[in-house]
Amino acid sequence: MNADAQIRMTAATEQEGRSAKLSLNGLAKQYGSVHALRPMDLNVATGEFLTVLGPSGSGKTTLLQLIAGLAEPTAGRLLIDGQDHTWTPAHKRSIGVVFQNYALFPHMTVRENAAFPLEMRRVPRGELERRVAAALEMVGLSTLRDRFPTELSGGQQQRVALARCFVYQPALILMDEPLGALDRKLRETMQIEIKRLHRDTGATIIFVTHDQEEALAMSDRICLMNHGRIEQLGTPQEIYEHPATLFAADFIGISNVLHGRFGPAGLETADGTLALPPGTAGSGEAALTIRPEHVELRPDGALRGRVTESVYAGSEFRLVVTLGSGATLVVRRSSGQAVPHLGEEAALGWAPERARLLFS
Amino acid sequence: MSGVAIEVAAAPRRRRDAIWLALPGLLFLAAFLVLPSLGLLSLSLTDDDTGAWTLHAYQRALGVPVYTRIISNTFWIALQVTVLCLLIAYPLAYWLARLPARRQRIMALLVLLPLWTSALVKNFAWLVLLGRNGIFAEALRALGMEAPPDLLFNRATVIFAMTHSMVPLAAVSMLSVMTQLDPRLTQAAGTLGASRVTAFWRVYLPLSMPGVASAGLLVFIGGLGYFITPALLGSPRETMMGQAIINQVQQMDNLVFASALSALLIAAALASCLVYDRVFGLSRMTGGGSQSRSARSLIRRTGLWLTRVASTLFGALSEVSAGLLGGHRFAWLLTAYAVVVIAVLVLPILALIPMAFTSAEFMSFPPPGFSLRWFEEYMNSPVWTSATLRSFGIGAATAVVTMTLATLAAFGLARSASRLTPFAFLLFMTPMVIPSIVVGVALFQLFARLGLIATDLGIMLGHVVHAMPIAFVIVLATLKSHDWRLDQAAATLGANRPRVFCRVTMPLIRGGLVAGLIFAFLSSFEELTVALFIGGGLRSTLPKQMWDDVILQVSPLLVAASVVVIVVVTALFMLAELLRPKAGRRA
Repeated sequence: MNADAQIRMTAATEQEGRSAKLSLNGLAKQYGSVHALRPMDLNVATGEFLTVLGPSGSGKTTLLQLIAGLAEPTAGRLLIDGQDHTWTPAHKRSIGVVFQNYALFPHMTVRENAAFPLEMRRVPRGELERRVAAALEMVGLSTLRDRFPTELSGGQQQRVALARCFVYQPALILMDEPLGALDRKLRETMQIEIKRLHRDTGATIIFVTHDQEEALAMSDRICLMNHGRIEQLGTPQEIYEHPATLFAADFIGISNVLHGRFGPAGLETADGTLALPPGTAGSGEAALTIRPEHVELRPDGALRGRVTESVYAGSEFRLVVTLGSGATLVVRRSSGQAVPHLGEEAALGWAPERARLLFS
Repeated sequence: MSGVAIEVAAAPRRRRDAIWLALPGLLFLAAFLVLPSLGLLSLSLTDDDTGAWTLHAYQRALGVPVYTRIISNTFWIALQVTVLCLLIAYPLAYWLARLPARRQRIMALLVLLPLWTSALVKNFAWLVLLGRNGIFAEALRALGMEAPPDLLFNRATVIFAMTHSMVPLAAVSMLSVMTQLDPRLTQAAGTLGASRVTAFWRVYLPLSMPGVASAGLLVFIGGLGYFITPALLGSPRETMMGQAIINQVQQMDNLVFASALSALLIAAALASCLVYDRVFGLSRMTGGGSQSRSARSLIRRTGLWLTRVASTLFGALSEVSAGLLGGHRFAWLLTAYAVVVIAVLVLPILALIPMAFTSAEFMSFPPPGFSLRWFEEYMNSPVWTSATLRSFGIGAATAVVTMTLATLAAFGLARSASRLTPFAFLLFMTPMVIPSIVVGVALFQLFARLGLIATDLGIMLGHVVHAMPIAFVIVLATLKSHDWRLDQAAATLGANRPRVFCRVTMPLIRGGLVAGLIFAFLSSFEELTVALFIGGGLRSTLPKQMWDDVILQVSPLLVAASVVVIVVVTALFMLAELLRPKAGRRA
């Protein structure tokens, strides 16, 4: 990179840094020889709901701890509102954190938990009481204000954690798998609750999860992480429809992957040569992914296999077709369409433009 | 289906609640702890000559100046020692709790080792080290100070040595609470705007208070019954109730008066337990369940107010000091402090070892030459060898009996849903909160009637009472960490009950059981009080023999005996620690 380009790039990041709530410039964390977080650049816009998605060990929690100031980076800079906060201690960052298991103070009541951050900020008594009451009202816990956290259900504890976080109106809120301990129904309720709080307060929220459905449902943008670095960054739709890598495709829930090598007629797989999507080319190894709803049962299909599983899921049938090589493809058929029986032969095909070519 | 006999399974008998497994242990404690204690109480209320009810013994204890001074001495010293122990042990435990797991285990060993070294050996070490020819006197002389100051036989030394004896107990009690605190709570306080100092005072300290309280309770009750330190290192002015009780039993033959003094000790111990229970709930210490707290209770509000004041005060102080010293954190200061405390805990014990190999006739430091003569003398003395063998024998028997009772009880209580469980639990822990001198006297008056005085069986029975809580706690902790679903899994895989026990349960809890055996053995091996009362002059255990000797004179032979004790204790202790299942060490 020449000096000129370097200057232009620095200018660009600074420009971005100013408009962004949070900017990470090459932020990294290394434990001995283990890269918990590889140098990372990320800008989060004011008011954005960004989900950090990834499997365990992908660096999500490290990233969150670095932003919150609970761990110190080994390289890079962290800007909040354009100000360098890389070395600011946690208690001076004014970032709200909702912990994985809530970290409610067991020796304090609900009210005292919610009042704690205001006391730390020396908020006058009257205003403190008013704001605590409002925060508890907001999460529907006004009647439980004198209970201790251990006397509450999981969902109620979660609400206390939210109240304790929102009560001091932090402009940036980090949530570390806040819904992980809740059952499915409660989780969906709380997802809606958090979205509502996000809308009402206008806070910037960074939400960590390993649940791709949660990520797709809640976010403005998703930051997909793997092995301590960003795998893909984009809107839920971009990531779901245009996964950039095989990992992204797999993690977001796309199971139909066919590996092969480039040949003169397309991608040569163990089950036959597949047409490449228009406008793609390459050499060496690659894979084609195709979403289940785009796979069609048609006699002229390029792939042949046998139906090995047939699952009725209300609105649709899900068929698993095992190909000659042992690879499997999932096919969706709306209810009402003819469905081959278990053990029958099936020929599969799709419009080439529906498939995506990915390199591992 | 016709022709196939349908087997109707017999309706299962209603399964009895598992609490009956605790019955043998409960009966044992009823017979050898509760009944003799009640016997003691009734004895203290009788007239020695006529047998009529009287308060005479109490009038004497609370009316005669000699005794009121002893009683006030006892409470005052116990209180001072408790406060000192808490102040010294808290930073140590705090430091230990924050170490990485591996280093914490090593460092905790250095605290646990002095905990398991008998008070007799520790105090004897001070007697030797602080004596006229001891290390300190020599060091002072080397520094050019002519007349060595009076290091022994004064109140400060008594308080220092008692504190030294009990700091490990306090630190371990606190550590067990601190290691269970969720580190994310202080982190959370940080993200909510609390500085480290504020987070400590507002979150960490209040949450660690149950550990402080149980440490205080155990140290105070232990201190009340102490007699070794004031007897060895104190002057007559430091006489405590324990000594008076021994004196009344052994010299004055006045069991009634000894009973009255013991009853006063029990009353004090129970009163401290009640105070503790009012504030924290006894269930906290015993690990039990229910908590009934009120958000508006006075004690709680006072506590919160105090931590708030402290946090404001120290927060301001730390800001000032950070301003002056450029924000440098004092982490190294805490480490240095902890290292010094641990060194003071361990060094006196280690210092005894070279002195056992002296070639001199009398104690002196440094030893003039190397020699094994004192060990030879020890081995060739029938008194010492028989005492040593008796200690091993009684220790082994105690370990087996205690563990049988404790294991059955722990199994029963771990699996019981009965409402009696907490009471059974309390009874098993009771020997811990009754000064052992009281147990000694109580058993003495019971065994005197049963003809068990000066018998090995008598000593062993007393030692089982003494060892019961630690064995029970170890087994219970092991069983609580055991995953009973594994047993269920084995059953669904076709194993019958005995095979489930042999193939799944036993291999998983074996480490805990062996550790329990070892610690029960150690409890007996080092026990002095019961042996002092029950053993009489004929049946000496090793600690009893050392006690008898140390009262007469300090000789290198005694140091050699102490080293034998230290080696046995250290070896067994290390073995137990190695075998003990480590919490959280799951594959």
